[in-house]
Amino acid sequence: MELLEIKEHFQVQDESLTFQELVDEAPKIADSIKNKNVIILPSHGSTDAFYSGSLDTLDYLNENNVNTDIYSSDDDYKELGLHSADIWLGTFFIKNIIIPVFCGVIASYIYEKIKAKAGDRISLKFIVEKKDGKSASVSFGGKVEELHKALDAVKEFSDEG
Amino acid sequence: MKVNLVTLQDAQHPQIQAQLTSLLKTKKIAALNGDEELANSCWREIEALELNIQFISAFDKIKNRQYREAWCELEKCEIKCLSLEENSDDLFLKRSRTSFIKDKVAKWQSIYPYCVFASPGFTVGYYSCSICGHKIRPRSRCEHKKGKVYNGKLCVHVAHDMEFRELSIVTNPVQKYSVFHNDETLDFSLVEHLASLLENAFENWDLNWTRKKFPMDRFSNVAPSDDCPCKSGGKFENCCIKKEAIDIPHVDFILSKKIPDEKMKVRFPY
Repeated sequence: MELLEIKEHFQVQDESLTFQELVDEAPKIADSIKNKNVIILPSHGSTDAFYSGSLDTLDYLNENNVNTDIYSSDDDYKELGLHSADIWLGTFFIKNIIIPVFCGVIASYIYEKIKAKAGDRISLKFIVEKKDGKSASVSFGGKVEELHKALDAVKEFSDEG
Repeated sequence: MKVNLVTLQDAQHPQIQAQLTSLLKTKKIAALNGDEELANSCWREIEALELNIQFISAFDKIKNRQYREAWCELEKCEIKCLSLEENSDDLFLKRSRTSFIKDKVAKWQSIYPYCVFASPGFTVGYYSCSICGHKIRPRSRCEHKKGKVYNGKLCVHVAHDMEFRELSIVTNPVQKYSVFHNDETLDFSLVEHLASLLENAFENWDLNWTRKKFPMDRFSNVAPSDDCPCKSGGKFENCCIKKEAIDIPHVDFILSKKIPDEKMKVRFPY
């Protein structure tokens, strides 16, 4: 199955997106998202659709003290049902203050709630707010046992300066 | 279970059908009376009974070399096991054979030659709760949790306003029904061999994947441009073609009973 073999993807790069821009560009939900620490963004090259299970992720984060919202109004929200068993968690914008807690909770979600096991493939992207207000992204697609690379990279932004 | 539910004949016994009918009736009355505990208990018993029947049916189809049909039955079993696990304690899972079936379904699936599946992608406008009909939105939920049983009914989220987006070819599908192979071109030797060793669906067995070396002359029918028998993913001519022996994946079946000598021999290339 060499043809279908997907290589690991791991990339850290600067981003121009800021939390304030997210709030400003979404007046319909600005009041709801402005005090949140994590925002789940649309995914898979889409500007308006979220991965299947995004609301489960949202609930889990909120139940575990990570104040999270979805970057969509209730009326506009729709999901992508991708029927591969690969774990597509989506894109998360994370405020700096919550990074350590978020990394612990999202790891619990992956290993304990959705019970990812060695060999499972996972794909996600974290956009992290840096202390200087700018942002950087950490993208990962690969085997779940290598996910620690992405989480370690996210944690490094918390330790900055 | 009053009938010893092991074979297809047992599964078709009128007493089993009567038991199912009785459980369904009890569940309905309990749900109407608001006796949620009894209704949920009946749901578990019904699901477990149907699971046993499905697993027996899958085994029977494997025995009869109806491999694709058996594969779909195994997938139904897998889905039922997940719902039962979410709503039962360990004691029930063991007593109802759910734990046994879950273990064996995964192992049967692992020796099938299927590896490519069609996977449709959709956008879903919204979901509703199957229990109360509530429209699930990011900031609006009902009290019911997906996958849990309420008053004898499993809560699922029903997709609405679905739009087809794409069809992907995947190796790891959510649902395994959409096999992308022509069975006539595949080798079911492992499934066939294991089935020949088992008397019934509930006989215990295990398997152990290892590797085993075979001399090069056993691979004389492999062309240089074929995939390498070692399963590295590379071509034979770029991989093991110059070796004296090739190390290939090998599986041992482990049974508690004595196996006839003629079935103990290593079956190349496994």
